[in-house]
Amino acid sequence: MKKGKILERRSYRLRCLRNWALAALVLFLMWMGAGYPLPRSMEFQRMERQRLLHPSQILLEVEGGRSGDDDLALGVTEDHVHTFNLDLNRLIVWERQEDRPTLVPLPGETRYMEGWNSYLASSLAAVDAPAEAAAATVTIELTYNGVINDRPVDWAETYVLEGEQRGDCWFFQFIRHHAGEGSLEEEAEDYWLASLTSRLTYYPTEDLPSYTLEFFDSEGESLGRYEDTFRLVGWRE
Amino acid sequence: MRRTYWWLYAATKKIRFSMDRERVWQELEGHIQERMEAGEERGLSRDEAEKAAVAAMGDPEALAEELGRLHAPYWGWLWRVSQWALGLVLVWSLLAGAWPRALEDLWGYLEGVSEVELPPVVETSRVEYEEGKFYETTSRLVRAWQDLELGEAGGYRWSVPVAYLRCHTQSEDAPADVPDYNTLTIYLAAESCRFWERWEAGGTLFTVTDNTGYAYPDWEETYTPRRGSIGASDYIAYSFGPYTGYETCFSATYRVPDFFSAEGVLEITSVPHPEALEWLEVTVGGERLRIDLRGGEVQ
Amino acid sequence: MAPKEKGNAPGGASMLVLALLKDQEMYGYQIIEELEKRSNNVFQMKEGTLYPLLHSMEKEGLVTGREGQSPAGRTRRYYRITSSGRRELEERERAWHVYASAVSAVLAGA
Repeated sequence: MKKGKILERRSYRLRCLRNWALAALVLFLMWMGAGYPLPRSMEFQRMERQRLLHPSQILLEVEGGRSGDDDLALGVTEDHVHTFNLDLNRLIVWERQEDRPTLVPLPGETRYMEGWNSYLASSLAAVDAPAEAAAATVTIELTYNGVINDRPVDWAETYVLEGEQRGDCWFFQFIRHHAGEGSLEEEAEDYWLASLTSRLTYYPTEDLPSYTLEFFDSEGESLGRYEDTFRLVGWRE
Repeated sequence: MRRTYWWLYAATKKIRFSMDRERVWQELEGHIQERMEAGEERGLSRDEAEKAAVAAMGDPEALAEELGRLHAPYWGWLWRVSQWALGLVLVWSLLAGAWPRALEDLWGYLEGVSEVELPPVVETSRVEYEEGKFYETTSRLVRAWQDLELGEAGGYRWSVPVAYLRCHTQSEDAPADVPDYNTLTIYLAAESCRFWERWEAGGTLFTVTDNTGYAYPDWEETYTPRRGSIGASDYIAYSFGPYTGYETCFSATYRVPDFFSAEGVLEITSVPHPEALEWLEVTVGGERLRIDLRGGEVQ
Repeated sequence: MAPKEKGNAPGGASMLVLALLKDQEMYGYQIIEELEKRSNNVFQMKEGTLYPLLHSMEKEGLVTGREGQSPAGRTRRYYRITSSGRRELEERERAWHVYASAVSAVLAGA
């Protein structure tokens, strides 16, 4: 046993406590600096509490196109549908129809692959679909009337989106018609689609296009055809 | 000194934490040595004195048992682990780049926010509405309130730190679509001990009514976008309709006045009959908060 | 609060040690010597008894220890009584006096 430095028992206990306290403090400061992150499901509920909304049941989580994390979500309450963008701290409230399926846009961009390229896409989701549905489509017409790069543009396109079932929701993405053409149509489509989600969620109801939502059973027979518009309750910013 | 060494070894072997063991070893060793010195003074030889001193110390096994139980290693390991824990956590925080954000936040909380100042009692501003054409708006602070407690709703305690009513009168040469109007500005604060989920003022939906039964429409209902193009660029403009559209607008001036509360600003353009205004009722999350607006006249 | 003593009789080694430390700080060897001296060799405490006692009293906060040195450079740990130690001593002294006078009374016949 060497005669080394002798430590006072009292003092090393205090130092021990001090170390743990400092470690806890540093962890807390890190947590605070990161914006008090919580586990994902708790994050959505917290967003609702902060806005004094009723807690919803999350039915869909989708990867956001920009960050690559699961940061878009959809939740339902009795009367409303909540859509979330966790990254941007956005929560949008939509009316939930009593007697028919409800279609809502997701408040952020997603991605899809076409060959070797990936594209940012706006997407929609439907809840309260008929249980026997095996396929779904959304038909929606987009128009743009204005000027792009000094050229006047008068553009209108009808999109038919194929639905993908994810849990209790049906998920639809806007696949581009004119990708890679270099044409004016491509520019117009690009401009419109790139800002579509913003338009659908940030601008007043008058601006929102109407759509036709249809469900089919496994034989291809129609289970219901619904023409409607997006019913925004509110958001704020 | 082998006898001493073996005795000390046996007596301290059950003390598991090395620092404690070292300390007790030293203490007991000193004791034995002093006994030895006393023995040598009495005339014993070195070796005999050592033998006597060690014998006087008693049975090392029994002592070892007691000392081992007493100097439990919990504290020892706790201390060692605490050093590692602190080190790791500090390194992690540096790698994660946590310090700039954390220090900024901390500074923000410590510094606090400046007090809201009431606008001046009378203020005149000049507005150019067309090239070379001006008109004047005179804004008068008519009523002001401070520190109103509103009660609890949605898990937060609500209050109005400051609120005021201003009347804006236009000069005679003002264009026809700019009428006299008033603005009611209410700072709304929500407090809660849950500092990790402060009120999100920018994201809350609410409705506002007053004592005359009037329900203030949300700005969304009066918000008209106009799309068009000027020359080579296209634009989207937003206008709040004519000023006689009594809009409620909750601006996103979102402040964190202290660690436990968040503030937003409620702006109402044109209360229909300001002289008859007694209270405002704000509904958030299905619960109602009443803002008592009696009195408050400004000289 | 106090370290466990064998039997419930008032008094006991810890009371004696605390009493010794009441007026001055002492180290282990010194305590044994002083105890012998003051009690006229009636109390001869063994190291095997003293050190566990001192260490456990220190753990409970009745005494505090600090490192010191003998003139010859030997390591000594000096023990000093704390305020809670003083309170403990008072209580035990009181209990002891009650006990002692009770015993005397019984022996004297009443």
